[in-house]
Amino acid sequence: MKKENIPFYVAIGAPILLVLVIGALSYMPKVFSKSDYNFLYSENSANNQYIFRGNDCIVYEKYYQISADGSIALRDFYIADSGEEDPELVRMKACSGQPMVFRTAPDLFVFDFQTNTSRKISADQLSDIKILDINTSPDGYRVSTRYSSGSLLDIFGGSDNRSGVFLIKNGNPVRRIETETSTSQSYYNENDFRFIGWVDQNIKGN
Amino acid sequence: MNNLIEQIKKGVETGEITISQLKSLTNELSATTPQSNEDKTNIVTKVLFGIGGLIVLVGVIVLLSQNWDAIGVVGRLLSTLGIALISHVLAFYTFKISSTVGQQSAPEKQSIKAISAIPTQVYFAISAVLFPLGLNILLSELAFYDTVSVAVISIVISLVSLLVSASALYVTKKKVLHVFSAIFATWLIYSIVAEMLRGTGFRFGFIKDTVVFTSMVIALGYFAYGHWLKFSQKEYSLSKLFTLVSFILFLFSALFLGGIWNFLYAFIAIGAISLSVSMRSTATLIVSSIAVAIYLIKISAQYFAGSISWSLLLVLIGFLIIGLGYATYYLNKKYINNEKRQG
Repeated sequence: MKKENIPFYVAIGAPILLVLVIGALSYMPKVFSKSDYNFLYSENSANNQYIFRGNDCIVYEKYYQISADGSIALRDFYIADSGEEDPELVRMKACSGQPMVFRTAPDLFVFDFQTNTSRKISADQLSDIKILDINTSPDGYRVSTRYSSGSLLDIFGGSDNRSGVFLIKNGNPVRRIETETSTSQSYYNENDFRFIGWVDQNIKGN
Repeated sequence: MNNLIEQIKKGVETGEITISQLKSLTNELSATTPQSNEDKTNIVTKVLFGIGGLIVLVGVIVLLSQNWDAIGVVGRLLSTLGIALISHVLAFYTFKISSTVGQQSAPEKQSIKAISAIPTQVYFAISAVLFPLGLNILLSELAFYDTVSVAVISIVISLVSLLVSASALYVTKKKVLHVFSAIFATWLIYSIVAEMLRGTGFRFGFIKDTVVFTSMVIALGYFAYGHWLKFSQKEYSLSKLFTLVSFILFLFSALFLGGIWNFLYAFIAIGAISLSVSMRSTATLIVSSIAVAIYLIKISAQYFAGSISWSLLLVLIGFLIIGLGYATYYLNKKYINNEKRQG
């Protein structure tokens, strides 16, 4: 190596080293940060009976209720009426005249940290599930959604780096979690992610 | 004439004449010797080629913006990638003409060499601007935006552009390609960082600091590259440009750091001013002084705004900056311009 070319190698090598360091800081949490417990989540973040998605109005008949002992059960939504109106009319008013799509209950999923995938939970599996905690896992993790519309690196395609579902430890996000539900929020689409609770690792889903 | 040059070289080796004396002599002769008509013509030709190149680029951009739908996919690709390819080929063609004419050739061939060398850089510049644009259009038409993230596309475009530019630079050693290669390399680094940080959920403060440190490392890379250009490639004007850009990027990025960097910045600023003096660079001295002025305003606003009134603070800062101006002038006059005159 010629001595006069050393500055050239420094000019090339310094940014490469920087990229490797940032890469390690970015990707290591994805590999090493995971809870020993899985968590349940569903669509319909606000647990509403009616949600708007695109041009449709999704009407749910039931919702998930968590009891004090951690069990989950499906309960019927109470359709408020004045006794004089047809329940169908009540729904149409709530949907502002938009086409109604009827569903029994929001889809329920379990996120498995061992495989980093989500699986759907059917209604007949609900009796086997026990919620350990509705906020923090026994090993100190939380799950939260964050929304951000911009970033310093937008012009280089770096936007959306702070939006989505995140695993939180000690108040800091450690990694993003890819879920089956959407986490986008806009005037036309309600947010779809609803965290229900932490469950044992044995709950795998279908 | 060759004998005279050999005698001068021998004189320098034996110590009869010093390099600084030779420099003074050339400066003196340059100031007194009138430019020949050929020199003047070359300048006019360079300017015309440059303006022509700029008009080509403006024309393409206006064509695309006003007729985006009308010209269709083929039209968009032809007006960007097509012109980029033609310019690239023309650049190599003119480079080949100018490089095959030897030093001992007839005067008319020397004129052809001079004329051919000028547009090479202009053609490379046109190609370097239109190629990434065309590549973006191509990737968009191939629906890449539907399958990969914007950051990945940015990485692909900047990487391919860098490879094309760097390979042309390796062959032709043209100055404009140093600049474009540096631009594409910088774009590539920021795109890679953007992709790595995407989806991490890191807090804004951490991302901001990461971007600042990235800028500072890139600035160090520019400085090292400028150093290499000066001492290895003997490209002095290009070296000054890279050094100036490195100072601007490093000093103004570091201003966005907080915490202990508010204290460390003072040492960085002093180091930058010292380095400017030792490099005898007025431009970097001015940049360093401006950075110090902004630093003073930042520190005053951050730490003293609560203890003394804004109006008194502004008066103090104003006097400090005036003092900084005097100090900059003094340093420039005593250590830079004076050294250059003695030089």
